[in-house]
Amino acid sequence: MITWTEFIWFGIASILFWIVGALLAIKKQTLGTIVYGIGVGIFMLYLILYTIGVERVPMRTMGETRLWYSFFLSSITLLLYLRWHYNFMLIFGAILSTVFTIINIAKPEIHTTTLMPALQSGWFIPHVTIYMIAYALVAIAQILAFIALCRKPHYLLVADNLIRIGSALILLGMLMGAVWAKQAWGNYWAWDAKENWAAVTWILYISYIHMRRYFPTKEKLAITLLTIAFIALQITWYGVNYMPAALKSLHTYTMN
Amino acid sequence: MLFNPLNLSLWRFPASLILGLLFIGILWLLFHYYRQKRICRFLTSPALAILSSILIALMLALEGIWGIDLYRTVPFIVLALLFMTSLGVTTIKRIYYNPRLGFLCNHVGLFLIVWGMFFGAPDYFQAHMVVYKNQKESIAYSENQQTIPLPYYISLDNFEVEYYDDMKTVRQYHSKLNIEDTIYDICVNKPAFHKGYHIYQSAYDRENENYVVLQVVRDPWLWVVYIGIVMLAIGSMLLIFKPL
Repeated sequence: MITWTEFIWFGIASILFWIVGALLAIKKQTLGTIVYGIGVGIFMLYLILYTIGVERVPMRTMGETRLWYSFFLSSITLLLYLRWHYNFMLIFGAILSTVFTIINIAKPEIHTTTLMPALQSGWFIPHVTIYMIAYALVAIAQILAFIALCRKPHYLLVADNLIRIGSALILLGMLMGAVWAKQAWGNYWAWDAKENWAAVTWILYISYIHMRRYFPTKEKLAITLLTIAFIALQITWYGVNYMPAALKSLHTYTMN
Repeated sequence: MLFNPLNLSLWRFPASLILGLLFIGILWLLFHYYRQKRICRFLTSPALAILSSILIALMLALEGIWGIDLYRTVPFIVLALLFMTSLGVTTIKRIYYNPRLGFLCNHVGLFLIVWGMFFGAPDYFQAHMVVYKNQKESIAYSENQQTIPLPYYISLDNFEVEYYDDMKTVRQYHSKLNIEDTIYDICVNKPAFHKGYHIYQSAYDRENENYVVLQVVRDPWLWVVYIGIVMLAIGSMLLIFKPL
């Protein structure tokens, strides 16, 4: 039976494969990709075994969403690398996934196997999964935008594509959340702190898309907006728990 | 004063629907007759769209930091009207010229959601009621403790709490309701719907399990918002699968 205690072994193995794979890919593309892919595979294997072990879908706590974030970061960077062959893609994937894996080893924030009644819904898995994929995509886009700012302006076009997909996924996640909230609490929008920040994040990302479309020469302003959107996303994900508004929020599941 | 929440009860149906339709009518006439004029060029400018969106984001962020209810205050309502006007006129323009499926799904969908939330707000009603086991009840209490009679009685035929293996943590709680001879089995995440009211399992008597607290919600504009949600879902899927 795989539980949280085994994560450290799977985590370390994945980190090794990610880093070695990303570095190998600079010289030997195919071999590096395969090694990196094994890292993603080991992490996925742990997610599957852990899900069986806790007998529920592990998406409730902060630590569990970080598991999915590491997984999606590493798998999406792999897909993007296969599509564009930018060497830095695997290196970023490896660094970001490693950081979140280490945070999870050091500070798990995961412990119970129970799921409160409000979370028992068919919307739970697609809602969280879609958000985690979106968060991974926009994080990669953010890094691309910074590189574009320094020296390679054409990277911003790749970032634009990732942001377009990412913000569409953020919207889908929010719509699912709204339908679910209607089922669970009686209204699709409760002006709750977490909901408001989710809306802020989405509004800023679609503002960025409109800026890039109608004011394509104002690149610096657009990247500033993108960065503010990324900060808003961090607040939505975990920062909101530390805001004064969190005291009356419906969405803080980790503090009972 | 400016930031006091407004009382919306004056604007209930039919006033809400009349105002809502009037708003769309005005936007349409505005574009139809003045599309070459400065006002329409201003209202359909991307700069206004971006600026009004960011201002709304700013207000939502303030709400999200301190948990104050700005959404019922005059500044937020004015901002929402400005945003809806910009979104509405721009969408009407695209219906006249160069209509595209993706654009229309996303913009009409978003407009319907915001329009339905805005003009439907006065008609949204929620209240709580306490029903004891094997008894019936038709009086609900709103947030300000007003009594509201429902058009029918709800009786609680049975109530059960399910626990996890530790026998302490609640897994789920079910109520078997009888409303006008129809049986509904409700639990958290599975409400009943009877004659315009959604009935939710809200809380229960934790000591003796003798009564349950039900939440009663009426939202006649819900279907408008749901149409908007479906359109936005289609629109965002089109965005995702748009070739790079």
